[in-house]
Amino acid sequence: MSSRQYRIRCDYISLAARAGPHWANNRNDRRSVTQNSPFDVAESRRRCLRYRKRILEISQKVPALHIAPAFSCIEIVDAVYFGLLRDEPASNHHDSFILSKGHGVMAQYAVLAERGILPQGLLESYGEPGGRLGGHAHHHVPGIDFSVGSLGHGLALACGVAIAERLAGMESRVYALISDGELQEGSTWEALMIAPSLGLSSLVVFADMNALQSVGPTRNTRPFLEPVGEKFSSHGWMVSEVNGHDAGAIVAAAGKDTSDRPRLVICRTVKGKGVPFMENEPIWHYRSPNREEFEFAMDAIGEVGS
Amino acid sequence: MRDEFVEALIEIALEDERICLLVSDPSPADKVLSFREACRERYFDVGISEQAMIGIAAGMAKRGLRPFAYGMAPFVTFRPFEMIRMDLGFNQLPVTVVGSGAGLNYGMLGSSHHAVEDVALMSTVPGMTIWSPADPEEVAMATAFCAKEAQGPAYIRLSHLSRDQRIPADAEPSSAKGVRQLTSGGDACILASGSMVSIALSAAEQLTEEGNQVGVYSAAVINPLDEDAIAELLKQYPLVVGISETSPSWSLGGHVERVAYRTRATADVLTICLKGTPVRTYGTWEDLLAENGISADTVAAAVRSRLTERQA
Repeated sequence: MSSRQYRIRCDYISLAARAGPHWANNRNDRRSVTQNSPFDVAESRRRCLRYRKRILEISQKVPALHIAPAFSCIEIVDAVYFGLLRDEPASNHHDSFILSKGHGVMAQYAVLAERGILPQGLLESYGEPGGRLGGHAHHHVPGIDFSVGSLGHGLALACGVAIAERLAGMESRVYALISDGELQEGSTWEALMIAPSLGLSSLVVFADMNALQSVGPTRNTRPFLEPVGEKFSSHGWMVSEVNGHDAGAIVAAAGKDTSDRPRLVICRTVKGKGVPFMENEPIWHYRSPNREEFEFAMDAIGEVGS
Repeated sequence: MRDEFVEALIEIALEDERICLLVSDPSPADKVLSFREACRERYFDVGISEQAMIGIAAGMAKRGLRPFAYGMAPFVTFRPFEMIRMDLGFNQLPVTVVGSGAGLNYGMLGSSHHAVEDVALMSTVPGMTIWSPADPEEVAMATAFCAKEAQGPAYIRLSHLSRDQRIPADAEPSSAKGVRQLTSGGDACILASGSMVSIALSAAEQLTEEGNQVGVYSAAVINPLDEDAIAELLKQYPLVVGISETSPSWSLGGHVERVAYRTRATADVLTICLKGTPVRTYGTWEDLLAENGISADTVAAAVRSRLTERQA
């Protein structure tokens, strides 16, 4: 570590120690994973089952919410919080997670609640007047760094966090979750070209490739979007591809040495995963099931999880 | 004025390791390159990617750094505006956007390179402080404030054609509050910002030679405007003139009119700003200003005419 990095790092840690409201907000609770304990895939499956049920239960209190976009990325978010994130500034690890596809926030709420980062009962207040939890990620929610919602913001934010961590001499990883829809935003391409140019090797991006956007299949809107991996690798990224509902594979792919380049983990997913009648159906991007549909969905998830 | 900004920033950055500079493919003639020599590790050229530049700066600020995102005024405001609104405004992050050549500075490069609606747009961002410095002292004040004190986003609107500023040596020192008295008068005052201060001073000089005592004030901070100071001007002078190199969608004079209405002032208000229509011709900065009806002579004539009306 250079003397300059050392000075920035001292400043970084002293800011944390001051614990002012701004810094408290800057340094969200991550609940570090326990080092040296293997990621328990069976336990992850049980948690993901619970997340889906909790989200469906919440859907019964509000006219609409993003169920299907959350169900496509639940295993990814669980893998990040239970298999990857470390928060140990003293040992140079202060990992971050940035949910760029802000409409997947129900998955993040559910995982943060499971982690104990969201205070008890807060999840149940979703959508209530004056409440803090709504349809997109907001930085006032414990455990969430950035307010997003408009697509194409998170990758650049993640680059900035990676730069700051590097300047501070930290060895932190920065994880970001983007959607395949965000690959239609020019700002995403700006950031994906910048990350390797600046040597942001601590950056690991998960692409939730559920192949469905608001109006229908992504291939109808962008017939030439694929092969995404080749496009990233031609811009200097290391690329892996996994089944996006296999949390163990996600943890393994993200944990690979990224040498001097950022890494993209292409996660092949199903929008609405876990509830057969919601899977790959565009209407469930933003709709709450009625009572009958809800009961059917809960039964279906039970069967999947059994 | 961009040279003065870069010099001020380097001086602060050498003392404060949190200061970083992001640029988007600057000109090789731009003084901003000297920051790279002084603080190489904290200089980031993101290429021609203004949207990502703002997002990256936001991410850096979230982790305690104090980034400045620098580029030509139209391209660091209009192009990445949603990133400014969300990443900086909604997240309330202390990133300073620095726009060089604001207004009609890049006269010969055409409307694409002009920034006359930038203040109207940027002033809508929650918590956004906007500086329009008129001289090197105000540039240094703006840079230091944004580097050390700003709690949220800021925009520094630079004019590189203010090098002929003739601010009197006995002018009131600049302050972070923003409205500063440069010369005194009694019949009228002109409140100007940035590049318009030199025109205000020239116009006031003409008017003073004719026997009209016209004071000049510089508003270095134009958002939020120090409305109490403006209310005082409206009490002190029978005529308050507001001049800004902006479109009518946001003008200094328009704000003076609003304060006059709110405070039920009896003073007369005269607003001078750009027409707000895209410039269809090319020319120097002075040529384009003249096309918009702004020069020291036209400002003096407008004030003279209004003073004559009042005396009639």
